[in-house]
Amino acid sequence: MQEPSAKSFDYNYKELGFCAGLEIHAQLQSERKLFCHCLPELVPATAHSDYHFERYFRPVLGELGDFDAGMLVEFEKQYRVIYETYGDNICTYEMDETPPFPPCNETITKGFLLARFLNCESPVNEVLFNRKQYLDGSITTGFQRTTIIARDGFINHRNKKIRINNVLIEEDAARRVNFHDRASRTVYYNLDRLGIPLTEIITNHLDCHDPFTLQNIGLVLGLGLRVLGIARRGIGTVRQDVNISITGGARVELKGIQDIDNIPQYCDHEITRQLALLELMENLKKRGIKKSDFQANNIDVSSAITNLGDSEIALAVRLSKCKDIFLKEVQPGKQFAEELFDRIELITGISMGNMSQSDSPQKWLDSHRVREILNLQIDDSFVVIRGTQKSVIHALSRTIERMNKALVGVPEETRRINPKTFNSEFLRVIHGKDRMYSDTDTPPVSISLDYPNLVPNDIIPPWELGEKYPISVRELIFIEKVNFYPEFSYIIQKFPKSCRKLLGLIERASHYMEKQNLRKDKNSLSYRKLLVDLITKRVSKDFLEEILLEINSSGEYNREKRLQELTNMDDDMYRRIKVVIADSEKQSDEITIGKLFGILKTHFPMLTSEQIHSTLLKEGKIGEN
Amino acid sequence: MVEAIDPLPGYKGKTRDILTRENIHVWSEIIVTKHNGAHFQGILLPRSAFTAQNFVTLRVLDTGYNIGIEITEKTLFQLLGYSKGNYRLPAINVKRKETLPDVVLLGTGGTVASRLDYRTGAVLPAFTPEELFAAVPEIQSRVNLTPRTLFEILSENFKPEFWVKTAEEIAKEVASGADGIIIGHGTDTMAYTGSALSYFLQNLPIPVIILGSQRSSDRPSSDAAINLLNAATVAGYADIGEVLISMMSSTSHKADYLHRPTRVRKMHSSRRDTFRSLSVPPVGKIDWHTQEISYFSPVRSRANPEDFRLDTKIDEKVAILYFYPGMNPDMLHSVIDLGYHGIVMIGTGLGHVSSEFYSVLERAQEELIPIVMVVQPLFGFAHLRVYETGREMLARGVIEGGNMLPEAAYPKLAYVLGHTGFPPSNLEEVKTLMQTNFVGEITNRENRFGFSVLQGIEPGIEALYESI
Repeated sequence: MQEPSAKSFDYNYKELGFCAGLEIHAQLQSERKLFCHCLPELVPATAHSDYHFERYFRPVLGELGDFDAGMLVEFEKQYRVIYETYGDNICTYEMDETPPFPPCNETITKGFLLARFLNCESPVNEVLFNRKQYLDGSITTGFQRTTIIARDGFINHRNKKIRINNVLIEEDAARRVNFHDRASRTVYYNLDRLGIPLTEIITNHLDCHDPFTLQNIGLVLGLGLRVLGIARRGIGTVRQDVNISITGGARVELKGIQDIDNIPQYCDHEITRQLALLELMENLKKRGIKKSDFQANNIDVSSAITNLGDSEIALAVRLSKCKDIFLKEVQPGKQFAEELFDRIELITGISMGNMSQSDSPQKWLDSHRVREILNLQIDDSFVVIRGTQKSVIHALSRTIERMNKALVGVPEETRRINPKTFNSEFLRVIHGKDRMYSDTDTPPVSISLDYPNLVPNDIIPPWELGEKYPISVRELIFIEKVNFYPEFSYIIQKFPKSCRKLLGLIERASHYMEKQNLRKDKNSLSYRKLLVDLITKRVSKDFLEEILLEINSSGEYNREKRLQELTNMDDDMYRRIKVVIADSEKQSDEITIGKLFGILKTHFPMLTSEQIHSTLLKEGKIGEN
Repeated sequence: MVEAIDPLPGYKGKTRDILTRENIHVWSEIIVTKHNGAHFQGILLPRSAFTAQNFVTLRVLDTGYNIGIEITEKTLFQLLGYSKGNYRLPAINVKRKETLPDVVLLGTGGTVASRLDYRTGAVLPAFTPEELFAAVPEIQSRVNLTPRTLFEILSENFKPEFWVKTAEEIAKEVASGADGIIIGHGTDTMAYTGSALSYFLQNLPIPVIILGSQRSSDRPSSDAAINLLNAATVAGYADIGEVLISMMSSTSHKADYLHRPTRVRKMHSSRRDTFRSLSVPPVGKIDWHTQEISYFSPVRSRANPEDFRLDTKIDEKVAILYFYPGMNPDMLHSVIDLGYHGIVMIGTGLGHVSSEFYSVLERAQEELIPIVMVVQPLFGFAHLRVYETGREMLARGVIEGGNMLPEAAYPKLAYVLGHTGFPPSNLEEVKTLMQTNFVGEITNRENRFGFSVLQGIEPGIEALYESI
């Protein structure tokens, strides 16, 4: 497999103790949504929403009686959520106005099939839906209905087992739209995607130690989901979250990476960030800074601010011995100040423009005056935030909290990627298991499937093909792209030695088909037969293009019939050809087929190549292997 | 409680035997290994009693998911420990603020106060009002709230005796000087309770606001907190001397409508805006964000406390019968035979029953059992003078119930018979009372837009719904 080119940081992943796992989300093929009877289809981008409604969310206790810490932070954001709906596209289930209908059986069966392909040893015997809390508005109920189908699977990747921790089935969330800025407390969602059945595959974070392997795992799993008839195809139907950690750092989840090819970039930028935060920690330690040095004492510095609004106040916190830390670059082009403030902005809704620190203060503040009020030494720093009193106090307490985290290095969190810079910003605290709750609306579904024999025998997942045969993930992706995966997967089992040859034939066939604009059924017996005949040399490669045209026009390929038609020449002609063949062979013992072909072509210019070839075939001059 | 004694709630048959043998009970942390080597580690959870027997429910520890695993004789168990969940909200101690009104919350159960029930897998009332209060901390800045639990019952388990008990408790709170009362109640029979309380509590010096929720409070999208806050504000601040229901006005979390219980109906099994005032507009509205109250129709002001009167005399032997095509008159005979004292009947169209009922109506008339007719269409009045059938029914003593809703007519008949006694001296006496409007249960005219359950196809309906 070739390494992607986008390697810019030259990190030694092994030395860094890099570990990474994937959470792959893919929409499942189904006739309906998971819990209602709406079509699992998205409205076109040009559609105009004709009805909106709005909601607010609050956290509830987990099953064991605790509020989830992540959920409380979500609640602090206090989002007003506007849902956009489109004509007949959604029903009252998506609106959280009707309890769920029984789950779609077809989907659940697909989940078990996938688990089987992923070698999961521990399928559940009863499907129990759980509620996973989300307070960001992405789900109208405030929780996602989700279930574990199986655990303890694996795929082989370059002779190494990559463990699959869990295979889940869940409902997809609504699509965030009209995204303006972090500070906005109003968020918009299009409801069309909500409820589309989704599978989530979670790979073991300890089994992958470099970004390129991670990328390849993502590619091969994504490919498998498509070719095994499990996932839907199309943009946005597969999304992946990446879990990354390095030694001394923390597990950080990068959310919603659409393009797998960028995974190494995102990984490197995250490594950069974690290393920078670790350096910062060491630096703070060296300066002898302790937790008690950071106090949310909220000193009023309004008198040092120009153009302060009527309802505004400016408060400051003193950060002793912290000079220059805000200038520390944590990701390419991004300083610690931004790292700190984008988090505060998201949680509190105060825009970053209303926050200032001492290393590069905002224009609206008189830095000397602030230093005076706070009685700062030369090495001391400050953070000033302006806004309403309540929100500023909130923001400063979050500032102190983040500064305390800087003393221990890298906080565990879920981060949102920026596709332009490959950097990331704080999205939320990593959700814990206290956000889980039984779904009381959906009774358990007993499963009686013949799990060991669930898998059809004519298709092999790409993670097995890639291990058994000399073919790369990229080549398999190519085969899938030109719609030859089922044929390839079938034929390779019968002719394991012909892997490269088969690939070559598929390349040639698809190239021609593309040129001629020929369409191909997903899995057609004609193509399968043709490829087998070509590999076994029962048909010459020279006929490939012509037969492709023939399949395209007649819809079928029949070797016997074709041979008969081709050699349909009168007996006299046939006899004359045989004589020429015999003569030629007499003249030279080791005459090649090519030469023979040429001789016949000269003797009988009226014959087509196919006729000559078929005659040679009939006469046993071209082997049937 | 049974749950406290049973170590394996919901587990039955062979699975129960195996778990007992292994000394495992719910909240045990265990490793389950199946004969094929598959293993699961987690906490054994109680199980719904109405599901298949041969499974255990485990909460797996790494992800927090619950999963179901089949158990056979070959399954191996390893007991690791024990950790019981404690489903309790943190109790909050709040200081009374002199400037805020004192509001009493009476809890009766229902979705507004509910949580997961492991035995049935369904939702049960189990939050105490105190916990509910803790879950809606913003209420502290609106009113001084004193929560009290009256009952913990689902609204379908309500009975007329609970109406009486609730009214008596309200009267006590009125006497001890509450500025307002809110009642948490299941939505299914809220209109019945509200109607009954409306008849019982006369010249109310304070608002009595009933609220519920259509999404239980164990859901992040619940309407419980919104309805609770709105009801508390109305009860604490509004100049209202009536029993009203406060429930969401639309699917959006924007406002609650204040409905008169005798004119309201639960019209949808699950929507938040399920309650609709029929034939009349809602009494008023409270905006959730601004907490401003506005009115659509006149409302009774807080009465002089000396004039307050509690009158809970009722006759519980009252029934409702719903007429349907082909209904056999023996249904009504049976109810009379069973000793019922009065029957609210829901008749077709203007309030009709089939002519086969004439003789049983005569029997009721002779035995002085009032038959009060209300209309199946819910909108419009009972009119027994338009058609022949109606006139035949009137001649047999049937009482036209005006445009009373069944939920209002049933407690009213119980209340009226509680005062006339049974048998009444004559049916005319019952008729006069039933046809007198006490608290808005009968209107003598129908508003132009009174009939307006929209159909969803009207042009401009999107904008209209959005504007609600």
